[in-house]
Amino acid sequence: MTVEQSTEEESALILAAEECPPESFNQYHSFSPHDEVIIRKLSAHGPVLLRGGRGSGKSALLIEAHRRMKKLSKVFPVYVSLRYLPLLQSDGQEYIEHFCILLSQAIQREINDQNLSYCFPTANDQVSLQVALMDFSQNLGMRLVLLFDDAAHIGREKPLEVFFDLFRTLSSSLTSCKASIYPGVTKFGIRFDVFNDSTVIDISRSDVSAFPDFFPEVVRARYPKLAKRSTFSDRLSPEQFANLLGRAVVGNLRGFILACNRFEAIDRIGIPELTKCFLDMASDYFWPLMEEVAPKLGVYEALIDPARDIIEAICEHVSKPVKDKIRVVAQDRVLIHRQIISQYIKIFEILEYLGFISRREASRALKSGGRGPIFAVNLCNLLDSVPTKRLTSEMIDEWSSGGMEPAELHVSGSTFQSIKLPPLTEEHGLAILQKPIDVLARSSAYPYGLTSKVIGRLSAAQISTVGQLANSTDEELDNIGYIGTVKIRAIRDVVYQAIWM
Amino acid sequence: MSGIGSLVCGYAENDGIAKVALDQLSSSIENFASRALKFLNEEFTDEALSFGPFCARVLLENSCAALLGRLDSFRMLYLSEFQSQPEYEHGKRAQSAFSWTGDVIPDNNKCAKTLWSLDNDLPRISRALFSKHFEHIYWKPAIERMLDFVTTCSPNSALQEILEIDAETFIDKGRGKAIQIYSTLSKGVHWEFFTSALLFDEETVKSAIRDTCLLISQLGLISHFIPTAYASLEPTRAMEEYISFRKLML
Repeated sequence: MTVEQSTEEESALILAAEECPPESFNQYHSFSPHDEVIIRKLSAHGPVLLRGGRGSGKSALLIEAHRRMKKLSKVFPVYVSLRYLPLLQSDGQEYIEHFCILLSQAIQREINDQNLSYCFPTANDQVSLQVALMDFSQNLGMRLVLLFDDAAHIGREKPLEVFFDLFRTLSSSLTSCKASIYPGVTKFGIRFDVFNDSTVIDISRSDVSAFPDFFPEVVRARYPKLAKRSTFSDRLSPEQFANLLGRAVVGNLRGFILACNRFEAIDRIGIPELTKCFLDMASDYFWPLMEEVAPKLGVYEALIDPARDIIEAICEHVSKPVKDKIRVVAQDRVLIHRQIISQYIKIFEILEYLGFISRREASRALKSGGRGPIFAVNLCNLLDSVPTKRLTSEMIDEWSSGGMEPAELHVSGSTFQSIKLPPLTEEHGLAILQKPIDVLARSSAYPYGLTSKVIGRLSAAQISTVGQLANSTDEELDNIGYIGTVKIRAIRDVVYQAIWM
Repeated sequence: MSGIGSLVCGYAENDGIAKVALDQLSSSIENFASRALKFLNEEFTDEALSFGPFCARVLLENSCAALLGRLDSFRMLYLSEFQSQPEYEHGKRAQSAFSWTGDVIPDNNKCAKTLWSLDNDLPRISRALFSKHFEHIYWKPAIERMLDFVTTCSPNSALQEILEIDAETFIDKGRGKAIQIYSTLSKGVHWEFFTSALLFDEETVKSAIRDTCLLISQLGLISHFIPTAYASLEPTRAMEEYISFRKLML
């Protein structure tokens, strides 16, 4: 096996749900009873917004709903990924046109896949699209369910208002629109009332005590070796392992898969191996995530540094009683006064989106007065801030149970005192598109990034920025020496990771 | 018995019109809830398609009527009294009858736009279950009291949705949800389908039943933390009823 092949296979392990080959989808995905309720809702009449952070499993739920609906006789489902560069670069009328064409084409592809004889017109405005959808539904005698994946890019908020306007306009009793969004989408536009025009469903899996079977189930389906008792030391059961890992990454499925991958070559897993995984995840997954995401945040790019400061301050705050020997185990959740949250709202949204923290409760009273939400903190960064940097059985029990009292951040506290918010500039597109292609080199942010040879060949072909590379056709890339189909796919995967979340 | 009857209607100790009305509603709510839960949890049948939306619709309307009656006793007593008068005729619509728009969802054309203003005259202060004034006076403080009580209870996976409730947004979300469910269920009850593409199916019926059960059980639980509400249960009992009902919803 060549290095390239091996890299390809490795990267296949971490591909997002939307990139998973349809024939293997079933094998690699499992769904909790709560997921089943969400899937049913995605298949029912009515508009739905599915909200969750990066890698939380939104796409998997949309795809599973799509797969199941295809078997129903009364529903025609269409899955559309809105990860389409022109949508990211446009607004207003131009966005509408790209959107309508993209959706029309997706519908036609679905018609072809289902071997139906119908020609769906390529609409380029919302009125003709509406009419076409109605005609199609009535002709078919089926209702339509449109599943929009990645409807919102966290770094580009301007087109969101247009999207939600389209979402509302296209929704009818014959057409149900469903879309995945991230925590913190707040700009719904003036015509869209989020509470009346949709049902918002939040995906949250950070409380492993509430769903004790989910992560062990994922492990059984995807990593049979990690579900065997014989793989673990006496002090660690496969269920404890799966739930602790799930809790460590605050229920984020992408983080969970990446963590599990680290144990594939280990024959016997005990607490020291788990400790190593947590600390490694903190240094080569969580922190590099900030670097990777910064240029995709558009106008919010400047908030990455204070975001780093805030997560450090939270970890410092919860581990201080351990340093001061007041507590043996650091509190894994933090209750933050809502006034503090409102001051740093976008930063908390980014941290939640990236999976550093996860909202566990919406509102709880603080001992010092006032109320605020409770966030679960990822255990990797938390362990890294504990003086011993070593997992113990007590930590495993306490952190898995979900029953620890949360630490509190009071409104008059000084934890965030030194964190200053930089002024935000006007929205002008994503910085990543202007960055030189060197940023895509293999690194901790891009573990499957481009080699120096490939970068050299692309540069020689006058492709010098990420934007130029994203816009080049397969044919243009194929014309470059030593770059063929396999390499083009690898390049596309890296560019995809660089631009999209 | 699912317990939803007492979760929504409470327990009236004193005999009288209010007890009669609430006992009647409680029995109806129990009856329709048990049928709706059967349709939700069991294999889907033609019967579920035909009667599921009807059961959920009765459950929603009766529950809202009971909750309104417990918060605004005059409204319940008036309706009860009027229905026993000779002037009340089955074949004619009474202008003051219990109505979805007005008693449950505020009529935006008739109610005050701002919460507090010297110009707001009394008829414009909506006493609908989901009105801004009910939200401010009853629901928000009750939600916070309920959440404070939850923190004293042992962790329970059945309380997952309760912990996601925020007093600031719950009634806005609940109003939107109630409007959507009501509209969906109406279509399932009246069968106003002129195209086969619109017909309901398992996914839609089961989702609507589940949404109805979740909304009314949450409102029911919170109502017991409103100090002036009639026939309230002790917080511990209300919480037990909620948890046992929530566990019946798959």
